[in-house]
Amino acid sequence: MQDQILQQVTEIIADTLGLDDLTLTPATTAADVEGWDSLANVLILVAIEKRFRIRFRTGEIAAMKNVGELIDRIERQLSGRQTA
Amino acid sequence: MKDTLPVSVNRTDVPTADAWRTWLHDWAAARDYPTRLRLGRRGEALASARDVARHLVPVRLAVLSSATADFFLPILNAELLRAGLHPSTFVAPYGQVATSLLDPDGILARFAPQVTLVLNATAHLPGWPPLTATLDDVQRHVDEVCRSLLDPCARFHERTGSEIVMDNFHPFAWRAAGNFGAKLPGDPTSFVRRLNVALGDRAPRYVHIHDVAALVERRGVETWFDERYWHVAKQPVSFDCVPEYSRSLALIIGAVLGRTKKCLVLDLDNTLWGGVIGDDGLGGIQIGEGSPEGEAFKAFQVYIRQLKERGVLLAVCSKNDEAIARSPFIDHPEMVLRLDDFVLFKTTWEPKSETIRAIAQEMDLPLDSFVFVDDNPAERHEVSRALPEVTVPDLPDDAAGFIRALDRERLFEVAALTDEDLRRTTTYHARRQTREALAGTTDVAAYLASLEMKATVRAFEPVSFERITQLVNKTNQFNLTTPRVVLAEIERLASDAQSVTRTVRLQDRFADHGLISVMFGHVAGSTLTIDAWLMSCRVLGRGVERLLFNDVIRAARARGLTEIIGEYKPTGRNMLVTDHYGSLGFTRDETAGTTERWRLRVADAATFETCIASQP
Repeated sequence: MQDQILQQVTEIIADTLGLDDLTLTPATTAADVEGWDSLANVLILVAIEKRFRIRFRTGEIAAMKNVGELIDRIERQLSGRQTA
Repeated sequence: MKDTLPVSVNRTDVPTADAWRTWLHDWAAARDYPTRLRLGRRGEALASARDVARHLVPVRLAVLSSATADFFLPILNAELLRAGLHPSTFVAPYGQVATSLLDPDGILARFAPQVTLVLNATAHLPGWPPLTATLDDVQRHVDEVCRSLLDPCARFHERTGSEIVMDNFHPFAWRAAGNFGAKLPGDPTSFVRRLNVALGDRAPRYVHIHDVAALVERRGVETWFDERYWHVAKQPVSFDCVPEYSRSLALIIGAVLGRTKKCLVLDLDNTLWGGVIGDDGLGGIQIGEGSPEGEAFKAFQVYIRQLKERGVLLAVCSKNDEAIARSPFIDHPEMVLRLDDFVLFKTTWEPKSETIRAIAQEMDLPLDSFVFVDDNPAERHEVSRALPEVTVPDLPDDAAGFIRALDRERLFEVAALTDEDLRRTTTYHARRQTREALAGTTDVAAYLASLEMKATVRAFEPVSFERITQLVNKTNQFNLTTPRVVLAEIERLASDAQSVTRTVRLQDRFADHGLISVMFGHVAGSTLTIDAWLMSCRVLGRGVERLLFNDVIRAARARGLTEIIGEYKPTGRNMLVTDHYGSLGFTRDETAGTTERWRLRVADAATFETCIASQP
């Protein structure tokens, strides 16, 4: 599940930033990726919300520590939806 | 928020007209924000290719926003490209609206935008009255906010002549006072309503209100505003609604620049009434009270009639027998539209694209000013394949949805309504009568004399500024240099001592055609250079250009000028006037780029005979 999400997230981020080749790990932070600034971050989260049909909380949009945390939060929302 | 958006352009692409068409198609098909953002970048790359760029009209656009503009600008940009406009955009720093407008020699004033967007986030609206304020207090707040919004626009417009597009405001999705708020002038929703009405009433001619409140009414404020992205990034419109907001802005910008559709071509069977007149007969078709479907078709006709009343030309294109097709308009009591609402009525069994091409020719209008409405998807497909310039909106298979489907496209946006708009159908009818008269005459001079034409030639006058701007921007065929102007430039020319400006109004025994020709030029030394000369094709072949030429020569002699220079810039649409200056006695001089230059010594100028009487 996590791997699948990581793959899709990588795709979305590469697409948003206009990068042909991007490798992400759970430890990657925004500062590690060229062009991933505060504006791009909003675009990335908007695209992720759209793709996974989820809604981040206001605090989550502003501050995500790294890609691993992002994936955790996506997974939590997806599994929450399945059990609900 | 000083960062810029990431941009990626695939440099290996070969941009072609085909790629552009594919892009237009993809753009219309994908409506969500992330996809549009990606497509927007591609559109921008394609638009700079030469074979695409030459079809686009450049526009200098300034964007002043009280909140974050970065997220919607790429989408707006692409919508403008789609509308045939190529913007160069100046974006003021975040929140610097009034200060940018008021700075007399700031970057914005030097940029000299043709159109300036003033984008207002409701959440940043200054001057909310207290909830319990009295009506008088609230009125004072409304006055104050209107002044603070409109006064800087007035200063800016005086200095730069820029047209201004301004967002109005929308209510919030909450109401602390509940229903009682409807009786409280200080309730935020009540206040926003009052403010919007006052803004519309007080906005001067050059401030065009972008009716955000009306967009929000359609979509619902709960969808329009996303508190999360407001708090995180001061994004004033939810990402789901950014495409709609951007499109709406692009449409009003297009309207300010005079780009709008002119003619609506309509199918008959199952479009204007239910059923097939040839099979079902007059008593069998569904129209009007008596059946729910008939009521839906009648409502659609009422909407179309409203379009006609504000200046849209109507034509019929139907595969039918002519007499049968006409019968409901004459004999059915429930029909709203009547024969004289249409400028042309075509019934043939030819492919509809052929018929529409013929209609365009007969009306002397370019194909891209046509909209075709037909319930039959196969007919729509045939027309949009054969004539990609024609706009063909999709219709649902239920007549009750026709109005929304057509209105949603907002193809007939206008920035102002002129007398000519309101009279247009009558004028076209008169023109057809004169054509029919011509058919019965062999001697052209006798025919022209029989029209009993009278013309008034004048310099630019304030009462005509709007119509002049409109005519300059809309005329494609009889147009020597195809300039595109905003009203302030016309205003400036009118008061400039070094400019020579002329308008011609024409009437004949059938109709008052109104203001149908515009010329302006500038004097340098003893030479008059004609920068623009254009005429409505409605009055082609009447000798108006010769009458105007005579007048220009008189003016040149009165000013002691010795030479006149005329220019012709071929655009692909103005072949009609290739020999305009030649026929008036000018000599071709040289070719500078794609612009031809023609010269005439005033002493050599002929005086042409016309069949038009001059009146003051």
